[in-house]
Amino acid sequence: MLKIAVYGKGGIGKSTVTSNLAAAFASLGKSVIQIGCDPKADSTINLLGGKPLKPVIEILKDGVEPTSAEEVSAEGYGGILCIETGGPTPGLGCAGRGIIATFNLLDELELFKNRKPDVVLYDVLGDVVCGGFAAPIREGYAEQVLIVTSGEKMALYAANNICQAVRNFEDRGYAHVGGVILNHRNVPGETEKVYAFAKEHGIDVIAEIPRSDDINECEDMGKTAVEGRPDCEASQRFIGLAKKLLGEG
Amino acid sequence: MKGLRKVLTPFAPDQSGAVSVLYGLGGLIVIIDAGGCTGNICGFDEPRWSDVRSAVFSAGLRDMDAILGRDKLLVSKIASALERIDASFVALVGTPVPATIATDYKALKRMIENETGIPVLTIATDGMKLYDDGEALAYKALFENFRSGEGDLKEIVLGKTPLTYGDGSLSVTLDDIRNIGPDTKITASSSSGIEAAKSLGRPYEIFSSKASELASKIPSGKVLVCHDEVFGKTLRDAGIKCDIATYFALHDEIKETGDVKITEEDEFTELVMNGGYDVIVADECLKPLAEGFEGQWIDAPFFALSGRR
Repeated sequence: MLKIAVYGKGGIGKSTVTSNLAAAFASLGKSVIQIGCDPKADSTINLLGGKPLKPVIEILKDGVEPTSAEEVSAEGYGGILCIETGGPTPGLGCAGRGIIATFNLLDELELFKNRKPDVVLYDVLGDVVCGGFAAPIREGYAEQVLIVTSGEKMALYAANNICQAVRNFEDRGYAHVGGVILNHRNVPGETEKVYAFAKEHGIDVIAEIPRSDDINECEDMGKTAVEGRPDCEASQRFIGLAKKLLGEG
Repeated sequence: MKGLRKVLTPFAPDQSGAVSVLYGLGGLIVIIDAGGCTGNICGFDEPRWSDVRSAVFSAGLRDMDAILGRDKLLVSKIASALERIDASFVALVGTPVPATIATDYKALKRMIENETGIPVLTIATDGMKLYDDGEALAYKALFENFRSGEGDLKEIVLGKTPLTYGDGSLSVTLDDIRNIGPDTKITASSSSGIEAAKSLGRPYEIFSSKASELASKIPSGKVLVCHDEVFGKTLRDAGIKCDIATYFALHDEIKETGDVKITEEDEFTELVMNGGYDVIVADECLKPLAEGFEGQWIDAPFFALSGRR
């Protein structure tokens, strides 16, 4: 089972990358689970035809105790099982705790054991801000971290923080950084800056996603580019990345 | 009103149950709290505290420890304590604090074992469940760390802790756990004992010695037993026709028509009012909830419920 957590600066395109990657795995015939770990709960929306999914915390807050994974998930494009942790009202409670509560529930429901997925993708909010947001890279969850960045200064700053956080966890048996995904914003010197960052940290740029109207137009239709325009360049890059991660590319 | 208690005090929580199983086994027990949970366990939920020595410590978490997640400080405190205490294992027992700040027990286990070379048991209790849950988790942690499965122990009794039985003895030692073998007779003597026995994946008997001693004193009639489920089943097995009500777990293998798991005070009152019982076997702390009951009350103290032995 391939277990991957996708991190990166807020707004850098993590959910777009994660859901296109999920769709790419599914298009290769793999059984996929995508877990959105963000209170906004919009990670999987483009795998579900643009329909928002009721987050786990929304279900739990009503006092419901789910007895099966079906009660807290929905199947989207290519049979991808979509789950959103959700979280509290902004400004209240503890979003990190929401992620932990969701993971505990998925453990209790024996999701992985019952579903036996080939790939699990965690789409995680922004930086590793607290223990809850590091939960996806703890032992038993993701085994590698993919960092999404552009060549923008603040995106690289966040990527650096994520690398540092993962390095701090070396003695805990956490996930390792599997590589950088360059999501192009077409800023000056972008490719050089991102490759220099990767070299400095001893990691690879494992994919470059071109800035693409295909992605935006498909998202307007509630789809990933891989679903809506599988032959476009961006989609082919995602499929190529999926193959590489599976050791087939 | 749901969730409002006017008569009963809070029952022993899961972290108390975990300590109840681990107490006196020769480990360094570290309760991951600020101090209050440890105080509650040592002051109220652990009757052996004044008679039997056991190393029970609080992690002594402070605000900055929670904010900064200073796991390494805890590791160094434990390593320091182990320089002065000869312990067979370290047990980390959770409370609401680590549950809230998402403490990673697997990481702590790895860090402490690397630092000290001593096995670490992690029990992710959260203070929001009841003692039987914590006892079962502690048994499972002991089995995972110490059971070889090839020993020659004749019999092991699981779940016989002071929280259910009231007395100061626990029927299991660390050597017993190590020596559980394919021919060991397993007896589940309380709800947590059933969970523990299930995790061994072997056949087991269900029997409460405490209930058995009481069986001959129960008069005939329609009987309600409100205690641990194994206590009720043992009375039933002794020929007493009874309904079982319990504030703790009620397993399907014990549950019969008329048996209920209850959570509220009002539920017990309604059972008594509408059940037409001649006899109630329960801790006397429940009596104020049974006003108007004119039958016979057989007192069955239940330490986790009332603190009465």
